[in-house]
Amino acid sequence: MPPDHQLIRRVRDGDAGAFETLYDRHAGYVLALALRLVRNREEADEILQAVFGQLWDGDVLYDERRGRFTTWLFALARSRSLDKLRAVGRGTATSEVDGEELPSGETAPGIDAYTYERIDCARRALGVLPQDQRNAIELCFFEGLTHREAADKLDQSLDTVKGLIKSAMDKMRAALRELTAGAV
Amino acid sequence: MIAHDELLSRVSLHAIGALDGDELRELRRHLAEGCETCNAALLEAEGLAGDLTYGLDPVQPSEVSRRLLVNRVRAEAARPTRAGNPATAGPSIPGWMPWLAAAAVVVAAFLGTQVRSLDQRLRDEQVRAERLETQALRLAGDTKRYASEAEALRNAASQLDGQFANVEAVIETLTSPSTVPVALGGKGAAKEAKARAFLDPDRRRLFLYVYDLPELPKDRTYQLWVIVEDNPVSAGVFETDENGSTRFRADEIPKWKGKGAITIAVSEEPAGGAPQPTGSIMLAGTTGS
Repeated sequence: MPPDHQLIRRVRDGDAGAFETLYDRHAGYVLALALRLVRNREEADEILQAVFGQLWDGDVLYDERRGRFTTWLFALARSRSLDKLRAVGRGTATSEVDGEELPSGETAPGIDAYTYERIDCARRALGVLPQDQRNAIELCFFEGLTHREAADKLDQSLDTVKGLIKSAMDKMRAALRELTAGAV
Repeated sequence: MIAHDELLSRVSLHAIGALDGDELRELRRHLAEGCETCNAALLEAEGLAGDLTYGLDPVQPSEVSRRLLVNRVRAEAARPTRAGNPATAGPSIPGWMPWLAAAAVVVAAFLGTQVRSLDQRLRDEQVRAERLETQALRLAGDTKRYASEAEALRNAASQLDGQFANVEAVIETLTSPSTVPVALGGKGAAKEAKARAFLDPDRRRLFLYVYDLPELPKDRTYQLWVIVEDNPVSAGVFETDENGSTRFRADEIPKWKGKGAITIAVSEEPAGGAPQPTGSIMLAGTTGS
């Protein structure tokens, strides 16, 4: 299975098959991220369509020098999700989250081995975070709160929340280094 | 003037979208000014932030929405006028390049006048080097201490070599076109367990990723089997962590030419393993299934 950077070059040349493979490989996580942020299945589906549609149409540019394709893709999905939240007003999405989640540990069909390894390492690295650090980072990343808003919600000082987030990122970084260096 | 350390400390927050107001504006201005340290830190932190998404369970998109998008894409790809999309254009030449070239000419002329002063500095450095040589002789007495530090560094390097060789092996197998992925499903008492194996027939190597296996009594262990033409061959024994997960590498697995099915299975066996499967099968999967 070709890695992402090869598929992306083919999409650039108008290869629909390459686009389908990228979609099948990553759409599950894009949809999960959008759903986590907007908490509405219909709106999350729209965001998924918009993100991949923009990728095909060339409305937004991915620059290989700026890191992995998935980093760019998830950042785009998150940005669109936050735009949607601002448009409808945060907290107004009240529908039940009714996504058909794949069982824990399952991954999308068509996923390449390299991405599988990355997912495995990322999940293990997240697993080492203490709950308070995980809460802080999830409030900002998955709920779109600023660090000030997160501090209010957690009833903690701003410095404490900043410290929690920084410690969480440092721990993840160290865990990923250890996992990828001692890979199987 | 904001201290650089303060700006650098904001990078992680910015990567996860937690900054706002003046703090965000100040950092953005600093990044736009081209600070290499902070820009490099942001690139790395953004990669970490992206990985946070893998903490979620993926959600299956609806077949209807997939089909809508894919049909559109296929139709557009089939049109002869479609010239590929610039979505992933490589770097283009910025408009400021000609100005930069002109500036470079001016800088080169300026640098020409600096050559004489650099020559004098070179002579000064040579005198300094002679003084340092004298000091070095005095420091020769510390060789015993340095030898012991060198030994420690050699040991660390040897460990890193081992880790590097392991990483190379993983990359070789995971990127090989002949590698075959095998999904293993839970059986019996391990119905909730899942695993994925990557089988590399060219290198006779297998990587196994296991999740949610039940804990075993102290006198039992998990054993991996590679079954070719109904003949099970042990590929080793392994333990799981407190979450029932592990990653396991097996080398020298039975030869397989890629024709006919091969089954990967995990059973629970007495501690130390068994020559043939004797316990319950907990996970199994077959190539091509």
